Amino acid sequence: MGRARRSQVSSLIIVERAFRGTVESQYSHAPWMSEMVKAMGGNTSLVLKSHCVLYALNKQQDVSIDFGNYKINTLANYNKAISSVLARGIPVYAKLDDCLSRGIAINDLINGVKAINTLALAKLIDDHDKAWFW
Amino acid sequence: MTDKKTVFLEIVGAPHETDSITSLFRIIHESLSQGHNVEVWACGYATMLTRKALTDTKPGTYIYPEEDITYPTTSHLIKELIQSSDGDLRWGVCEYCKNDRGANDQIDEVEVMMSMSMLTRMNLADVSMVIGTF
Repeated sequence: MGRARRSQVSSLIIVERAFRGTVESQYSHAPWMSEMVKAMGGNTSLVLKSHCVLYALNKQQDVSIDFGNYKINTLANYNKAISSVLARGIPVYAKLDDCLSRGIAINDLINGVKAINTLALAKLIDDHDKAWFW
Repeated sequence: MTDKKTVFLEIVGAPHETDSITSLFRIIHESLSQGHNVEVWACGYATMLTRKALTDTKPGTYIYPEEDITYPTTSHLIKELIQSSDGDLRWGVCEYCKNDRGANDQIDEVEVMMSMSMLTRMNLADVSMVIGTF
């Protein structure tokens, strides 16, 4: 890629439509996009809502799909994806009520993911210049 | 001994939006594994799945240049499966939808079919299912 263009504008990536395009997209999901934004010099944070809180579960297994003689083993591994996002210094938040309604305890989340309530989400939106709702 | 049936699967709707394409791939694989014939009818934006423009591999992740992983495209996966199916898989592409969406560069392994022939093909099958929506 060319030289990263620095940006002072901060963006909050909020994603709630989960598990789309497993075969078509493979790695190109919202967590990857947040890393792309950071790599391009952007200042971003990631919020997981609704079913997307499942992305932040620890102890997820690698999955693959057999398709004829072909094994598709390049599908998204959200455990690795979220860990990679965190390692790049991007804050990751999971909506607490969405976790609890799915039987997910805070201890079930990947280390570093912060559980937040609605008021905290509202503050996050206010603290960022842009909010992208995917 | 398996009673060989013809399974007709119509796939409608845009890739990347839901996991219907993934579900289609799994149903195709399982039907062929059980010894049945499969006819796929790609409609709407599902006609994009088999475009030559996709080539065989997805673009790289960009942010992991050291990664030595090849991500296959849907056109590559479908091409591979048709070639390895010994004629048990037939992939039809709706001509109207293909034209309407500019998906004219279809891979050689699929068959572009007149739109209204869909009903004929569906009626000839033993089992039919429509996956997705316009």
